[in-house]
Amino acid sequence: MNIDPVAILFQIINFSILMYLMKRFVYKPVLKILDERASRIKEGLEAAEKNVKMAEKMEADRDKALSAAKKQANAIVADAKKQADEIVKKAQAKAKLQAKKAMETERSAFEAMMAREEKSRAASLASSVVLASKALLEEAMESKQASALIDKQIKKLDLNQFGA
Amino acid sequence: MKFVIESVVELTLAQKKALESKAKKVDKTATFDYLLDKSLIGGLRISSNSKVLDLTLKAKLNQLRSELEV
Repeated sequence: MNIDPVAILFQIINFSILMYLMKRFVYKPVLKILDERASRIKEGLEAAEKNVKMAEKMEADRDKALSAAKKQANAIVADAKKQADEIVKKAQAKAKLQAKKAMETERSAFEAMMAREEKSRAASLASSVVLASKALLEEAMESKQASALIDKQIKKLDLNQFGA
Repeated sequence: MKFVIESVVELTLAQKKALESKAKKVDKTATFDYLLDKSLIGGLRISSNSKVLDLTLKAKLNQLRSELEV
C-alpha cells in the first residue's frame, strides 16, 4: 500500500474546506437555532416558574383572605350571639318586672276589694245591730222607763260646757 | 242664754225644776224651750247657741254604728 502525500494533503485541504463550510453554513445556524430554542425554553421555564410562584402567592393570599373572612365571620357570629343574649336577658328582666308589677297591681286590687267588702260587711253588721237595738229599745222604752232615764241623766248633768 | 231641751216624753215639773236649777248656775237669765221628739228613743238632748249635749239613746246608737263600721 502506497501513501500519496499529495492526496493526503488534498484530503486535508478538502476536509478543512468542508469543515469551514460546515461551520460557516451548518453549525452556526444550527447552534444559533439551538441557542434560540434553549433561550425560549429557559424563558418558558422562567415564566412557568414565575406563574407557579404567582399562583402560590395567590393561593396564600386567598388562604389569608379566607382565614381573615372566617375570623371576621366568627367575630360577627359571636357578637350577634352576645347581642341576642343581651336582648333575651333584657326581655326576661322586663317580663319579670311586668309580671311583678301585674301581681302587685292584682294584689292591691284584691286587698282593696277585700277592704271594701270588709267595710261593707261591717257597715251592714252595724246597721243590723243598730236596727235591732233600736227596735228592742223602742219596744222596751215605755214612758216610765223614759222618765226614769231622764231622772238619772238630770242627776248627773253638768252644764258647765255651756258657760262662757 | 236660751236652752232647748228635747226628749221622748214630756219632762215632769220636778225634772224641769232640777234641770233649770243646774242651768241657772251657768246663766241666771237662762230661758228654756221644751220639745218632744219620738225619734230620740230615750234620754235628753240639750242645746244652746251652737253647743249640743246629746244624751239620747239615738245618739248612743249612732255612736255604736260608727264604732262597728270602723
